[in-house]
Amino acid sequence: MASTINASSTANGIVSTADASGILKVQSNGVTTNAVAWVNWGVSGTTVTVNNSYNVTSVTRVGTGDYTVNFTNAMPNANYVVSGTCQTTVSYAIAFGIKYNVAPTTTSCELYTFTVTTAALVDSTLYGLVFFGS
Amino acid sequence: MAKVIIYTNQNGGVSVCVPTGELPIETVLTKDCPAGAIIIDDSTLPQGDDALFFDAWKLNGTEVTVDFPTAQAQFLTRYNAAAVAAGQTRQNNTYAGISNTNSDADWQAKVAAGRAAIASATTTAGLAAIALPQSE
Repeated sequence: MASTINASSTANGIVSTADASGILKVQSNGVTTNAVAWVNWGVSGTTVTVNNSYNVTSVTRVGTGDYTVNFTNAMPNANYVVSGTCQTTVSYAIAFGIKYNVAPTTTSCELYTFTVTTAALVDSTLYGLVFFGS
Repeated sequence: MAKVIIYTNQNGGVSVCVPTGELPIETVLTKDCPAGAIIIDDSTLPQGDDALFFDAWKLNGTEVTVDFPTAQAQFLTRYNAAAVAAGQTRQNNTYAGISNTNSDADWQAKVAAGRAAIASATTTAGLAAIALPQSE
């Protein structure tokens, strides 16, 4: 992965840098503040189409509403933050979160989408996820 | 046609790994997937009604098929969950003084008919044609 490092330290301690893998990190006093991975994918029927990504090698459909995001370069640790949203064309509310009993790892994160009413796993039509870690 | 990676997962079902393009699929195969995973054309995966029963997919060699008894059992579980939710809505309506469209007896008969249809279905198309219970 090509990378360009334009380091610029300022009075407030903000530095732009990149690690050995080429992942850009904007750091404030040693804490990375920018997303270190993100991905957008859609589901039509059972076909998964990855629309855009950064630092993600693949999205694996494990089951209905059950997906694993695999990172290109491992996270510094497993204590990263996952933020995201999903869209559905159905009329009921759905919830989205990290899969129960499966801890996120430095190399992947498994997620669930399920209906609020019955807790049944269900596919969303569009997913967008962002990962922050330091 | 897109290339994907498939393998039998820990649930006994089929996982479908879709590369983002950041790395060659052969690299993704070894990096993100377990031993035994294979690269296939996604057009060879089950289509139509068979595609609706992803959780019942089974990998036999290089071919993915639907295990119908599994699909039937999974659909019954889904049907029953929907019946419970719909029944609760009907009960809440009663408590709130809102009339349900169908009587309890008619609604229960309709739900029972759906269960019977699931039991007698022989194809995924037959299962897909069965509507999940609504509160009505």
